[in-house]
Amino acid sequence: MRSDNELVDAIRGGDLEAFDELMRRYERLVYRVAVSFVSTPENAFDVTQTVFLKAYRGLAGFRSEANLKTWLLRITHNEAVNWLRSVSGREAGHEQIEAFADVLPGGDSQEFNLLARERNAALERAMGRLNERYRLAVVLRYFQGLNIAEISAVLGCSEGVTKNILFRSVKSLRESLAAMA
Amino acid sequence: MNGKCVEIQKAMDELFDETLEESRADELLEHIDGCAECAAHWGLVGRLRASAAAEPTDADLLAMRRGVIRSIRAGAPGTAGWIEALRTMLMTPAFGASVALLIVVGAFMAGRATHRAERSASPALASAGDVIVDEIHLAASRNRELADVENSPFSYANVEVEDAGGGKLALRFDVSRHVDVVLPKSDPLVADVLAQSLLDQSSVGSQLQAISYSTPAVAPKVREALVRAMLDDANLAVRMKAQETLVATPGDPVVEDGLLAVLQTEESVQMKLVAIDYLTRSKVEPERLREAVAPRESTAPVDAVYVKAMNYVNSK
Repeated sequence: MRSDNELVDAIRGGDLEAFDELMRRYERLVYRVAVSFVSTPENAFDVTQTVFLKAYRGLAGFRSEANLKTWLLRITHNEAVNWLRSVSGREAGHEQIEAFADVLPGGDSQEFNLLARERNAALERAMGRLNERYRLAVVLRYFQGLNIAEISAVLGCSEGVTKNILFRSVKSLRESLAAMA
Repeated sequence: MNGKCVEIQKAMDELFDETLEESRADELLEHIDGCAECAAHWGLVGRLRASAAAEPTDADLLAMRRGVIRSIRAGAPGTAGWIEALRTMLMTPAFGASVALLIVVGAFMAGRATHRAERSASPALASAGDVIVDEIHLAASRNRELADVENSPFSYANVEVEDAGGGKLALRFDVSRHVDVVLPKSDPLVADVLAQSLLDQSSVGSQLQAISYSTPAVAPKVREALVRAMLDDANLAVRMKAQETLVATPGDPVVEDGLLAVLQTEESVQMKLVAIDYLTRSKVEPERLREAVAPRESTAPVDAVYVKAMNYVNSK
């Protein structure tokens, strides 16, 4: 298996198969982060597609010593935020709450129960109240399982600051959920 | 919640990851068992970890990849490309400011846009892009010598060039323009520029300069940005400068909340002492202050921050 840097070199040389391999390597991560922000699978695929197109165009300026995964996650975050801002807050919020349960595991199965759906909608609503930076930290840590060092690289801050952000994020989510209960 | 709870809750991720020593893990679990606050936090962290979104299907991912490759091969932006370009242009505050100032004072403000020289079929994109392209095209036609180009008000970055056939070149680039404008302190653009600048951790100098002109009274978003910088910025000088600015406005509940968070999470003793000064002047509820400074460990040495806070608490 080729390393990220080998793929980047090949893509710069015009090898589109290498870019396809790069997409296959990171598409699920990019999609999962995107869907955590934009909620519906359709919108998440739009964002994912945009991320990879933007990545392809930006690879010329990508520094090989940088981390490709971190770089892609930063683009994903920017694109997801752009998407959120491009839709009116009320419309996006409504759409997200309605759609969130459908993207959870088992969301379309007969076993899906109403209580779980309501709880997940409340959690998504609370997530929507976090600022973008805090929300990204929560998504990367708890939904994607990235470690503190990786999240710090994406956020561009120290590990201590990342831990503080995560602590305050969960605290804020609890307060929001309590207020909704 | 006291300082011990904050410490426990910050360590919960390591507990979930099973990276803590057994004795430490037992200590945390024992605390969680007996503390409703930490049990609630623990429960939510577990719930968040279980809430990962469903996997996309292989067929959908294949379709997505094909769409990307097709767009690249066609050398055209494609659906996602023009949406992205449109969003970039329309959602950039500087672009909006450019259009506004063009109309109002005839002076062009900064814009940053990604645009293909070949116009899109999208009317909205064509309209948004034309404003930028027409301006830079006019500037380029006036630049006769290399010196003119070097002194051009516009600069280009991330340039990509492709042969588009038919004697044409496809250009993709970011364009930015230096802006020099005088606005009232209450202008929304002032607040936006200050807020963005003081949160941009790529330049500490710009952050400090932005903070020096920021006051919580300018706009709620500036106050929020100051609080965020005070709590989260990686640079101590920035955190201290943000705090110094915030404490100049007494009796602000948002600032009080931020300073209580400083007492729980900040490592700088100086910042904690400044926080206590403000909070005692604001006559914060003694119980809130007591909780914020409670020692993390029962055996932890009593420090100056704790003594100062408890002097206030005990006087009430």
